[in-house]
This record gives sequence, C-alpha cells and structure tokens, in this order.
Amino acid sequence: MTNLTRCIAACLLVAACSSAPAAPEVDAMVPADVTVADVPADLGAPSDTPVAVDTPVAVDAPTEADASAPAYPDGPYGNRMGSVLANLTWQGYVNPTGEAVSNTLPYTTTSLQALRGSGRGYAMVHVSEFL
Amino acid sequence: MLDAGGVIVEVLASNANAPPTRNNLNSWITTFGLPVTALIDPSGVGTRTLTTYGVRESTFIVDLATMVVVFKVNGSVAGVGPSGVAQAIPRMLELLGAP
Repeated sequence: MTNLTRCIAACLLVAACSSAPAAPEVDAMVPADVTVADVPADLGAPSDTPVAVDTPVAVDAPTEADASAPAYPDGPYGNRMGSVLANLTWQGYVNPTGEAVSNTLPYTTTSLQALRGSGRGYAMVHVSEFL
Repeated sequence: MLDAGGVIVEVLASNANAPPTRNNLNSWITTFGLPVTALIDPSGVGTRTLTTYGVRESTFIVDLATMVVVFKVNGSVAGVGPSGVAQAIPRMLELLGAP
C-alpha cells in the first residue's frame, strides 16, 4: 500500500466512521458546516470541554512496553493546543505499518506513552464514537 | 503518513455514551476496513478517553517529543462535512515533511 493510498484510505475510512452510524446525533451548539477555516483550531464545541490546566488528570503508570521510552512529560495536562495530552492506557490493535486491517492483529494493551516510544515525530489521535 | 514517520491512533471512545466493547471495536474496524491502530478504553475506567480528550471528531496532532498538542480540530459531530482527520492530514504531512 503506498503512502498516498494509505493516507487517502485512512482519511476516507475515518471520515466514514464519523458519519456512518445510525441516526446522527446533532449537537445544536455545533453548526453542521463548521470547518477548520471557520473556527480557530482549538475553539471547538462547547461539548469539547477542556481539561482545566490546573485540574489533575489521571495518568496511567508506564507499562513494561514503555520502558525504552523517555519519561512521559509532566502535567498539567489538557486537550487544547499547547497543552500536554495526558497519557492513557487502551486496549485494542496496534497497527503501526497500516499493512493489514487492524483486527487481524493481536489484541493487546498499549498506551500513548508506548506509542510515543516508537521514535516517530508526530501522532494523530482521533476520537470517534459508535452511535 | 505512516511511511513519513507518523503515528495514527484511532480511539473508539464510546458506544452511545457507554464504554465500547471489544466487539464494538471489531465491528468498527471491519465495517470500514481500518488499517490504523484502533483502541478502546480498558474495562473498568468508563469512557475515560471521552472525558479526558473530548467528544468524537476531536483530532489532535501531538509532538511525540513533548506530547504537546500542536494542532487540534473538531470535525462535525453530525458527520457532515470533512472529518477532523481529513482536516488534520495536510498539517500532519507538513509537520512530517512529506510531499
């Protein structure tokens, strides 16, 4: 799979993810046609409640897989531009190469710290919901 | 993006505001043939990602050296218009120095 193909596939698939489930839940506070050009990138919707800079956020302890990564940066943590995104632990399918549909891979436990430890420069983290 | 050194993380943060199950995640991946890291909260923590990171279509680009959010966009919660990912890809490619 080429880089471009993978990029487009991820874009289209996740775009589909955001709209495919049953009846769309319309948040009256978020105009349907809001685009990145319309709002500052970090303005977000009212429901996108920021994690207050001085609010403690539970950060999962490093796992064994994190051992080679540098220590996770200290907080305070938040979800706005310029904030340090909190380290969370998850379960699921780690698929760093994109060479396979993810649920053909082992189901495992990982964390933002573990994914960070890959040595790559930037991560795109996308939050989706199943309606 | 992956070839350029990027990491893509898809977090299924809720199922109708309840914690999603592994079966939900499998369905999500299978339906769309997702070829990216796809995750859910572990059992017992509720919808922690949703609470901590924000509602669906919150899309972050994080500098892995500092874990600072360098770009964030919220796509439409109604599934209308370009997704958060589609809006973030150009910036991600720019940061990665990819064509």
